[in-house]
Amino acid sequence: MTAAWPSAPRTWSVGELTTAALINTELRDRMDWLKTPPQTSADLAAAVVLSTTSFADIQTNTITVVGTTILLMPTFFASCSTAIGAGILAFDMTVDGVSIGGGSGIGQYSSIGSGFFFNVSMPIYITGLTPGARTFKLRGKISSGTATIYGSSAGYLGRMAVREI
Amino acid sequence: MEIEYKVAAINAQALDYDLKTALGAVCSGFVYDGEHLRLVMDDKATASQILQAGGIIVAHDPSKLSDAQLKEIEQVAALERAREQVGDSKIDENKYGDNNLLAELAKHVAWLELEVRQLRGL
Repeated sequence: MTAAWPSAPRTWSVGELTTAALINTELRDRMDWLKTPPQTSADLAAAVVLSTTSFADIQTNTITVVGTTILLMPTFFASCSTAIGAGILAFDMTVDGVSIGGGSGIGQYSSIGSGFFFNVSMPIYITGLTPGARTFKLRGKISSGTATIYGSSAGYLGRMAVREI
Repeated sequence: MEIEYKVAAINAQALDYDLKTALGAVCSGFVYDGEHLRLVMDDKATASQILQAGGIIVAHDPSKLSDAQLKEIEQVAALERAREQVGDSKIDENKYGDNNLLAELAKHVAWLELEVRQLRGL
């Protein structure tokens, strides 16, 4: 993978010779970076049960970015223990400890009854990052009762992927 | 603040109830991954409240059901008994034809019965 997105695209002048070095930068390096930018994904191994009414960490992921924009893509299965509408399960993400969604988080799911599953998927576009190692955390809370976020140990896929764009 | 404990198994609903009943709003709840339990406490929690929470977690018996879980089991059993008693029989609204008000009520009950049977795939 090309370590960093090459500087501003080159503008050729009429009659200018296209050298191997120039074309390698303009085509090879840009294509290479576009295909494999900094990216990471981590699966949730064990199921996580939460009862907290204030946001607490569920999963952590770290990526080293060279630019300032990323796409966070958490997706997993969840269920609530409460009756229909009795509990609201909320999720948030943090970047280096700073909340993205604030008190309401970036996604909320009203309980559809005990024992029912639903798919949580909350891709979110984040700009203005400082290049370097950034730590992302998925956080959750529930207004009443308990909720389970299922991991691969229970046969479900829970994944938090991050990709620089 | 979060305090981590190593716990082999929990009854999440019962432990949540015990913690929040004993400590009130100072305890937000917990996050549990099957091995580690992170207790989420308000930053204003006192040392004695943290100790109390720890005591509840250590003494927690996952096999003991909460009042809410017992009530839920009773409700399921009561519903099962009622289903057995009614069986496949359906309300016959014609039986209530002598009384207009009762007949109207029977018509609605019959409709609800059909709706519920359809929802349950019966």
